[in-house]
Amino acid sequence: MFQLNVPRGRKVSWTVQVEDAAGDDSTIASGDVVRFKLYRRNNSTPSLDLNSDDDTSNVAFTAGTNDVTLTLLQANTSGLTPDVYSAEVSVVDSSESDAIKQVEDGIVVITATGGGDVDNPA
Amino acid sequence: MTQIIDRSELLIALGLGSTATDADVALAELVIPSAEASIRSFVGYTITQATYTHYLPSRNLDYGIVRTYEVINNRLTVNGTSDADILFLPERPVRSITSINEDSSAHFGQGGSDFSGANLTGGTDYELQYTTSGVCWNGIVRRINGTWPYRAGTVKVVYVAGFTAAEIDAGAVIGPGQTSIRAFRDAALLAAVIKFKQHKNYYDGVNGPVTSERLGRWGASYSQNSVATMSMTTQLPDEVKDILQPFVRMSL
Repeated sequence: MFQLNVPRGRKVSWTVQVEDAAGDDSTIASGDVVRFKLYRRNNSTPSLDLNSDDDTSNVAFTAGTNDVTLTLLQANTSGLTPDVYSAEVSVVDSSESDAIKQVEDGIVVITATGGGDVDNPA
Repeated sequence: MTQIIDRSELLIALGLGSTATDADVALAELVIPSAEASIRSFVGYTITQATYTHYLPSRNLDYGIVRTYEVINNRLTVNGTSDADILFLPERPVRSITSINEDSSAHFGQGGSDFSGANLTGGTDYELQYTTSGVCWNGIVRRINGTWPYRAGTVKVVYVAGFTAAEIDAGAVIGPGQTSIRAFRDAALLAAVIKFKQHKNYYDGVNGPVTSERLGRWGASYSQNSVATMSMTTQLPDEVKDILQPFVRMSL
C-alpha cells in the first residue's frame, strides 16, 4: 500500500513494483496493459482512469520487468479538488484473456497549490 | 448506496495511510457502512441522494370533514375531504419532485388501476416549500387551491432527496441555518475512527475503561466490555452528535 501527496496541477512521477498475491515480483509481458485509477468512494466514474496503451505519458513499463512508472501531468490534477483519493494500479493480463488484476492499491492526497502563473516567463 | 466517506480518508485519519495492514483495510471496510448507518439513523434520513417513491399520506388523516361512499373502478371507496393542504415527504432534504399523482380510490399503488390518471402540475397544483434554492428541509408539499385526500396511500409522490457525493465533498453551505453539509462527512469520519479503534482494541485484547483504582499497593480494575458499553449501535458518541445536531430531522 502506498501513500503519495500530489500537489494539484504539478507534475509528479513515481514507480511501483508489480507483485503477485504472495508478494513475489511478477513481470509484465509486452501484450499486457497497466491501468491506473484515482477515485473517491464507490463511485462509478474514476476521477482519473489512465492506461499504458492510450496514455503513454502517464503509464509506462518495460516488458520483462516488474517496474511501472506512473506520471501525473499538470493537467491531470489541475481540475481535481484537493482531497483524499483512493488509487489502484492494475495489470490487464494478456495471458489470461485480459483478466484485470490489482497489483497495488494506495492513497493519493491531492494537496492545494498556489495560484498564479506556472509557466517559464523567460 | 453512495458512501459518505472513503476508505482512504479513514486510513489517513487513523495515521495508517501507507502502513495499513490487510486486516486494517478489511476493518476499515467493515466499520464505514456501520458508522454511516449510525449517523443516518441519528439524523433520521438517508443523507446521500436517491430517488424515492412514496404513497402518502402514510395513514388516514385525522381531520376528514365529510365522508362519502362511492364506487370507483368497480371498488367501493370511502372518500371525503380533509382540510390538510400539506403533505410531509419522508426523506430529507427534498431536492425536486419528479411527479405527483393523486387518486382518491388508490390503495398504495396495489390496485389494478391505481394512479392511472394524469400527474398533477408543479406550480399549478402543488408547490414544494424550498428552504433555499433547490433544497427543501421541511419536506412540505402544499396543495394549491385545494386539499390532499384524507385516505392513506392515495397520493403517489416520486421525488429526489439528499445530497450528491460532490456536494458533501465540497461542503456546500445549504444546511439548516446556512450550515455546511461538510458536517456529514466530518461526523461519519469521526464515528468511523472511533468505531475502528473500538474494534481494534477489542480484538487486540486491550482493556476497557478503568472502573476502579487505588494507590497504596497500586491496583486497577478495567471494564471487560468496553465495546458493549460504548457501542454505537445504541448510542453515537457525543462529539459526533454535536456535529450532527443542526441536521437532525425535527418535523414529522
